Amino acid sequence: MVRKKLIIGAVAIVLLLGSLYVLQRLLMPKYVSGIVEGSLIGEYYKEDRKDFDVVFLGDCEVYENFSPVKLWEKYGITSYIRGSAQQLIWQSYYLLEETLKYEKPKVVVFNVLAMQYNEPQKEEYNRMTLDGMELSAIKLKSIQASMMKSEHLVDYLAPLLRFHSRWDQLSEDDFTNLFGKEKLFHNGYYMRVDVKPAGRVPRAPRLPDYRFGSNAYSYLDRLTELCKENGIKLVLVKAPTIYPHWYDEWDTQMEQYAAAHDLTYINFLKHMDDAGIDLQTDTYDAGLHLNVYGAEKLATYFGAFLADTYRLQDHRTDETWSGIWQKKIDFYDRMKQDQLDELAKYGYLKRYKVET
Amino acid sequence: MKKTMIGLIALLLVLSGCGSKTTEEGSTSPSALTQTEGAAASPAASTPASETPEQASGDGFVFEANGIAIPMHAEAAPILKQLGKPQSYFESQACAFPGLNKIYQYSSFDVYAYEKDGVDYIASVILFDDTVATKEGVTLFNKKSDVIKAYGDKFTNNLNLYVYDQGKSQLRFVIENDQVTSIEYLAKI
Repeated sequence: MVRKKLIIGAVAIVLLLGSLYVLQRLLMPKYVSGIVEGSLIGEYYKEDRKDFDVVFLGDCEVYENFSPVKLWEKYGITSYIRGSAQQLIWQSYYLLEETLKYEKPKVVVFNVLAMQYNEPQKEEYNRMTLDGMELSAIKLKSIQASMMKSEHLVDYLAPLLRFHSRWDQLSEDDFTNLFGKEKLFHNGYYMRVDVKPAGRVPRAPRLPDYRFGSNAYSYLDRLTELCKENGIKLVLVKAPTIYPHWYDEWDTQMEQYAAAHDLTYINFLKHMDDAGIDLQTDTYDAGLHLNVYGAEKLATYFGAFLADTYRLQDHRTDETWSGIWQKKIDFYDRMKQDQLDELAKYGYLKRYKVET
Repeated sequence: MKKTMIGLIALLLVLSGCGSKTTEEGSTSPSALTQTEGAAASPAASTPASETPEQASGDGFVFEANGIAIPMHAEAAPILKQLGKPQSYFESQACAFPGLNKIYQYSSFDVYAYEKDGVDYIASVILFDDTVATKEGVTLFNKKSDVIKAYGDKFTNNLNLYVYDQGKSQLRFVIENDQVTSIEYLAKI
């Protein structure tokens, strides 16, 4: 009798926990259309082979501006972008710590726009980086470093607590992607084929203080140290996008930091002509981000530097890698053509629910 | 066992009922001076549902240009119509969020607008030269004492930034070497 009760109790608990798990999966945002950027971080774990030569870290200035497929096609460089929307520098740091559990890249590229943020900014952005991470002590540290005052750790550990009120916003996407999502990105690169030429950007307002904050610097120090400890070359970059403003005062600080720590810092805003980037044709949102044509040009230009400076091996003769990357190229080309077809047919990217 | 299960279910229901709303309230303001990104950080995202932006515009700071009042959180269209064609217009979408930041550049000031439910509201006004002044007469290049004379000493200060709060708005001065180098009106969350 007691045994029977125990079994019934155990089954009931399993059913209850299982139901809560399914409910949580149902209610969590899926980020598969419209705001797809919330799916960026999670795609990394699905990679079969993670020993990449180059890992990019940072915000939209990495995941929209560098094409890993082009780096492969031109130089045989294997790369992955661990970027996410408004990724803050402590999130980049912890993502690198986590990445090192899987691989030890030869080069890490960090986009320095995030230095402007010295403290947590917005829960919605936190979620897009943190919810995609697999559960680990590193994720917990990243959550602790990222939370706004109004946020709670438990809401990240049990997202059902946070998203239970989404039930009236559920869409078909929530059901069709309940236990898995289709692949949306190209080694962390977010493709856009549309074009919106850059015009005149707003005047740069004067800032009360141009110095980057101590917290941001502290994590840049830790990033630098982590790379050194692991024999990884750290390259600081500023992507060639013209808004938000990248102040000269900020640029000088990064130059000085790089010089003091024996790092390379490349402000691509100063190399746009060399890279052949034309913001009349190579951006999809008037200069905030590059489109695929700009991202391919930037990858071509940067790839030559990476290959030469760090003597990165050309893996194109490696059969295993070639097989893996051919599939990536096929997916990349298919998406590019699909987007071009949609653009021709509708005038905007319908599948992505992006009106231009 | 039954009691344990009921207790467990009750606990989970209570816990799930404790989740906070997706919209965050009382967070920091989206100053153009900090280039906070877009709609996700706009006042629209955090204006309490019970209060419309128009209601929020009632008791805040008001910038005036050529006799045209520009209150923070006010509906932008009628104001922009009165201001006439801007020298340039720029719009940007926040990374990963819908909605646009719209920036209208006039000769001496820029007007920033945010979008809520398809309607644009005034988010910020930044003054760029001393041909325009605040309603209380402060211009760029005035001294700190001029600011205090006009607005009093009830400000919050962080480094060179001096902030006055009024209703759902802020008036923010950057003062360097005893000289006003930036003036911004800001719609506060």
